[in-house]
Amino acid sequence: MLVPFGDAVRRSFFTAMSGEFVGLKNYEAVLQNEAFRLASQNTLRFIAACIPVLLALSLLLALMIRAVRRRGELYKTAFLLPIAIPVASVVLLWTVFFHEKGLLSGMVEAFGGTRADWMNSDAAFSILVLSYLWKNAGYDMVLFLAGLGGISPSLYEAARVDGAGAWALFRHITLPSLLPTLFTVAVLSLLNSFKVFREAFLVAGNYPHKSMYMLQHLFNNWFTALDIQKLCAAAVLVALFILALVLLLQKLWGNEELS
Amino acid sequence: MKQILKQAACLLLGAVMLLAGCASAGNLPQSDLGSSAPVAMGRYIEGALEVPNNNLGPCILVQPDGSLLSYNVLYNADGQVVCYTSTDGTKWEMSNVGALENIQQLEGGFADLISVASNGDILYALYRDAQYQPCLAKSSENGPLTKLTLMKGWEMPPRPPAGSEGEALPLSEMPEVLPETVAAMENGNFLIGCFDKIIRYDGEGKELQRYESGGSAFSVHKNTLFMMGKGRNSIETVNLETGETIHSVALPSTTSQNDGINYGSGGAPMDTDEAGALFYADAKGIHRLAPGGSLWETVVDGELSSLGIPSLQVGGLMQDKKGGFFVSMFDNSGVHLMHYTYSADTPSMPSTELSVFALSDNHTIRQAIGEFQRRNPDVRVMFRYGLTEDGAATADDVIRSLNAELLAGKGPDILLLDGLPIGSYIEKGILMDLSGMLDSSKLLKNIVDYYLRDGKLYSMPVRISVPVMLGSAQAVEAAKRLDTLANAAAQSPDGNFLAMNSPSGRIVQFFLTSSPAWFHGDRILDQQLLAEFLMNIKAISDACNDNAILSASAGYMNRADELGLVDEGLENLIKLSKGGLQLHMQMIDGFSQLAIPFSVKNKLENGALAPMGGQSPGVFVPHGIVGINNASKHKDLAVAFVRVLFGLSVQSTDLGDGFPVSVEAIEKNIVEFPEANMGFAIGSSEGMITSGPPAKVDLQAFYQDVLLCATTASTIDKVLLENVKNECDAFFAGEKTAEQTAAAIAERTQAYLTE
Repeated sequence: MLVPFGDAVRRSFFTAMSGEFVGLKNYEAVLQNEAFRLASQNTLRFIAACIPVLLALSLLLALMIRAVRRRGELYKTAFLLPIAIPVASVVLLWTVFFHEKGLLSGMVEAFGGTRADWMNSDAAFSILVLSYLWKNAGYDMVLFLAGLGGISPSLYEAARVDGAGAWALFRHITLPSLLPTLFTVAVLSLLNSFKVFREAFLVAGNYPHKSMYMLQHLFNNWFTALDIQKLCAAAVLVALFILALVLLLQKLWGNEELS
Repeated sequence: MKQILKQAACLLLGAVMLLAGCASAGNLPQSDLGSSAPVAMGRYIEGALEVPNNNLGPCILVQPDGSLLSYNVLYNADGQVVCYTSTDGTKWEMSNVGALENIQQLEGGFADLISVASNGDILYALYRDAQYQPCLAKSSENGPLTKLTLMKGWEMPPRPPAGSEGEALPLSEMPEVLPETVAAMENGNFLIGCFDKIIRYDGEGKELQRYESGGSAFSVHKNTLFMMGKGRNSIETVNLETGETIHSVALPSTTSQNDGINYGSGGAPMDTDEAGALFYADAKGIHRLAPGGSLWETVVDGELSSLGIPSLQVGGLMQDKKGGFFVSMFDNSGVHLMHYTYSADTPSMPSTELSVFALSDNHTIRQAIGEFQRRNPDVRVMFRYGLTEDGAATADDVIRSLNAELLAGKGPDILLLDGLPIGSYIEKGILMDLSGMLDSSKLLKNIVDYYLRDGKLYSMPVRISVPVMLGSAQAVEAAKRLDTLANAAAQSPDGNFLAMNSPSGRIVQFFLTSSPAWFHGDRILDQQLLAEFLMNIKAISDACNDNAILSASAGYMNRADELGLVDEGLENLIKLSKGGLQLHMQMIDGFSQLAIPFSVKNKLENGALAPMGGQSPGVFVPHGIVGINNASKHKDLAVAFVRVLFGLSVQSTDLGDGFPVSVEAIEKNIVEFPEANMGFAIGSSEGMITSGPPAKVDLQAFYQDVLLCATTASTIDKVLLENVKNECDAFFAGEKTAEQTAAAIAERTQAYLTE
């Protein structure tokens, strides 16, 4: 695993085929590349939009599932189903819904609006976000449920005895106890956010709507064009960014202990 | 201790995981393993034989002693039949015609020999008389020929008098039997092969039995008939006595060269040996089917011989009585005779392999492979193309796979760069400089100049197509620019300046001849020119009433598919010839496609044919852009192959995939094509146009005015085209201006163009 990455780091300092050392020129070319800037911007925007919402939503679902005494397992299964659906089926679903002649266009037209190719419009980004939330909320919910299960009930009992209400219980017991789980879920969600490329690629191809153009699209196209030197340089930059983010999250949430 | 063991186990697991997935150093090609590995020996070697008078007769027989006998018809006033014999096909001598000497006397006039067959004692000659009526004559023990009574179903309707205009014969009046081949059986009976049946007759011409077949190709072994199945995809074994189908075996390959032509014994690309094994020849090779078997064994590989050359059609197959084969093949230049003999001392596979890669199949490459391997029998050219009909891979998948090979230094020796990122390959030094290897002075200078990069030539197309327009001189002149075309279309009283199309179809129609002008330097889109294009397209579309068909059924007249089809369809060419249109546009892919357009142009009053108009004049579409991999281990062979590709032999062969880029080949075609004895015809609901080959003066003018003026390569950029089409709906609906649409297109394609 480390050997291929090491090779990528090595290639980022050399030309693609001739193996000539070029120093930081590849990094310079990547940072000045408009397509890279657009893709980075979109990817960051996607992460910034999705991760907090996903964490909040999945935590809320986990708390609700725990509160439901009857049929809790049934609801848990229902929320988990989206992640089990194959990508090809999801793509089919997208096409049926969001195509110009799809269900959504039909509903809009029925209410007096005009049809649109939603995946080629400004709504494409929102569709991507919703799809990501729909697919991953159940998975993160299960992780949070595991985390919630690890909190000792005696803490809650003691707090209730002291007169703590629901919000106080959540704020002072649940949330701090969940910080390590929150870190794990955040990291996994971050990594899963890159997988949304699969649906976007299968529906919209190599060059989707501008708002959906992510780093993976760019890397894919660079490989097709044999721009390996730029690809490796960009991959190193992305890896460093993710590493920095994970370390930051670990510092904030990973080592916190319930006081 | 336990802790130490646990840590050691973790370290070991980590090391295994780290090293897992490293590429193995195995799987080296056989040729790189040195001479220590045993090499399979034995292969059929191809030899090209001389043909008598540069033309084999329609009837070649292999005598029992293995010598060849060829009956030729001399097309002089007497229609004389001559005979040549040869012991091994290398040298022919004129010989006694024997019983066929009096064939002309049978009818008192000219007899056109179709096929001859003999069982040693009885000779059958199938021929057409002066009235084009097929007849059969028989000679016993070299006695004089006697004509058999006309068999039932053979009667042809009377021929129209000389000088009158002929009409096509309706199907109901076609004779029931159209004989193409004859074969003599041991018992004196004979078999007649037609396109849809095989008929067995007794020695006097009485019909004994019919067998429905898929072609006139057949072979007989004792009481067993081997013939093409009705679906033309199988060989059926039939008992001649009972008519019962004993066996049916699928053809060995899906090549289309399956119909038997009347050359050779039985007139078919199949023959049987004494044991009853069947041999069948097609573009994939010569295949053997054991008696009663269902699996074909390829004994001669088509890829290593001329059998695989696209321009050559297999005519007949005959065994040489010594374990080898004679195969007759034909192309536009005539008939060729090949002899395949087994050499036990030759490695079964050539020791050296040259790899050629393309995204799609290419006829010119296959032609060159055949020629190259004929000259270099110790080299095997492996032609690999990524996109197959039944494959699921996309072009991008194939390119990524290729790039992975190139990165690993294991790419193919020769690349066909159509659809590949040529600019990137040149920039990264993947391609070798060809300028010192090819004599570019023998190639079209305008094409070479386009592909030069800093004085070096890294790639060059083997063929080109050109979009042209045809109409009156006035219409053609107006159509050279989009704005003047729009004006001329608007002034046309009936709106019939151009054939109807949809607005998005118009975009695709003019995309090839306009899009190259939209880019300056390295992939910067000129929005102003793009806006002008859109405005002109809208004006043309409005003038031609394109909007009127927007509500028509989907697909109507929408020839603007994503491959950028310029063609307006043959029915529009016919309409133009009748005055129903003023201008027609189409892609021309070779000299044979010039006949009808020139015929129409010459019939029009003040007709003209010129390169198609647009924002970028002088556009051509390259095909088979060849480059040599700099990392190739067989550069010398690769260069030799490329020289064959651009050599006269391959370039002058018209395979319908574009014009040659060799000046010599073009000049040769200009001289030879008008002298070709062929006619052309197209027909549709609008009528029919017939024509002979184009005149030399027309071809010369085409060469000067079109081919030499082609200076800009253009191919359909699917991403750009799709974005233009998607944004134009609002523009055509009047919701956006041209400038806004151009800006929207530029924004959409920003990522694509700046990568």
